Amino acid sequence: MSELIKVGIADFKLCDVPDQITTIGLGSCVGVALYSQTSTKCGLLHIMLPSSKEISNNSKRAKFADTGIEDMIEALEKEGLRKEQMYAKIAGGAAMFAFGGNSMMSSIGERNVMAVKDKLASYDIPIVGEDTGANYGRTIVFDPITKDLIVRATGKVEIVL
Amino acid sequence: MSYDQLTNTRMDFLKELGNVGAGNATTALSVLLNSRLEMEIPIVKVLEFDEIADMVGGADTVVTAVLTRFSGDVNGMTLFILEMDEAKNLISVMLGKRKDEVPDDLQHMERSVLKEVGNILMSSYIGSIGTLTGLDLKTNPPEISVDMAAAVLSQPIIVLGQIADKALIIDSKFIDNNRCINGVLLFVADEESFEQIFSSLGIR
Repeated sequence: MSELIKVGIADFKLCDVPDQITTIGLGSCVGVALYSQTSTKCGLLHIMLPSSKEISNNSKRAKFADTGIEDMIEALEKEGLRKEQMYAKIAGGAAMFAFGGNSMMSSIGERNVMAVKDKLASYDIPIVGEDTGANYGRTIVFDPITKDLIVRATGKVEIVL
Repeated sequence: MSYDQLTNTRMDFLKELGNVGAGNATTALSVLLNSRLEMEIPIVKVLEFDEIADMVGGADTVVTAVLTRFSGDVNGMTLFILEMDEAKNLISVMLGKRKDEVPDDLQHMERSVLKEVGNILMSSYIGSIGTLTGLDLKTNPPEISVDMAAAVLSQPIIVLGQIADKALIIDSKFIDNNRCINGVLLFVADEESFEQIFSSLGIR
């Protein structure tokens, strides 16, 4: 029996076939799926803030793009994946409410996406699929067999990355 | 203040704060709808971020959420949340339409109605908290989002997430039995702001 593994906010989990892995209702948060063509294992991370360095309360490492990606890569390496062979697919980073001005709240989704991209670039991990920005929430499901990242949004056609 | 060490006195006080706020908001909504609304006793809870969406029907339930930020002596936000079906009930009453005339993908007019109702509710809620505590609280214009509960709630969660891994929430429910409108009003603020509220009334 295959299962659908759920990843909560500020968390990451690993997954192997025949299971699939999901995170529900990404708003300004960003979901990062990491996998390798040579392995059936993959990981999914749900970050909510760009950087652990800007904030004193940073013990929950999966909350941040920088430390979250670091830890998930390490966990995948323990499962035998190699950084040089990893690919990433990302989704989320929306602005759910249309606040005027350039407040921290109106730009947080965008900054989360930037931080994820920067961190992945520092490992030379290519982003081969992306659905980010805009003003709506996304539920994502990653399938380690097909390596597809399915993106579902309310009232919109499903996207396969 | 640590959320893990909330005394009973503080919990009771927050419940009372929610009671007064929601009481005034309920009165305002009753006048607006020309209907008698009931209010449940507010629930005060310390929640993991993942648990917040469960309060409004689950992470992937589509909701309408009107968010008002407030600032001054206390910083935080209130959210007025309705499940889609209930939002349509409310809109149909306000616009004098039949419910089936309200489109599923709410348009500008429908969204404006929800925003305005949310504004009236939350202004009276925040206003009464200001009167009770003597603190200066200014509300900002509301914004609306119609989407999955988890996505909508990510906004307040991220703001709180900068300083905490949990949220302290005052959850008030309004019920209009005749029209099946069952709204949730969440009061969200950071620890420092709650500390301000407590000290304004000498609650240790």
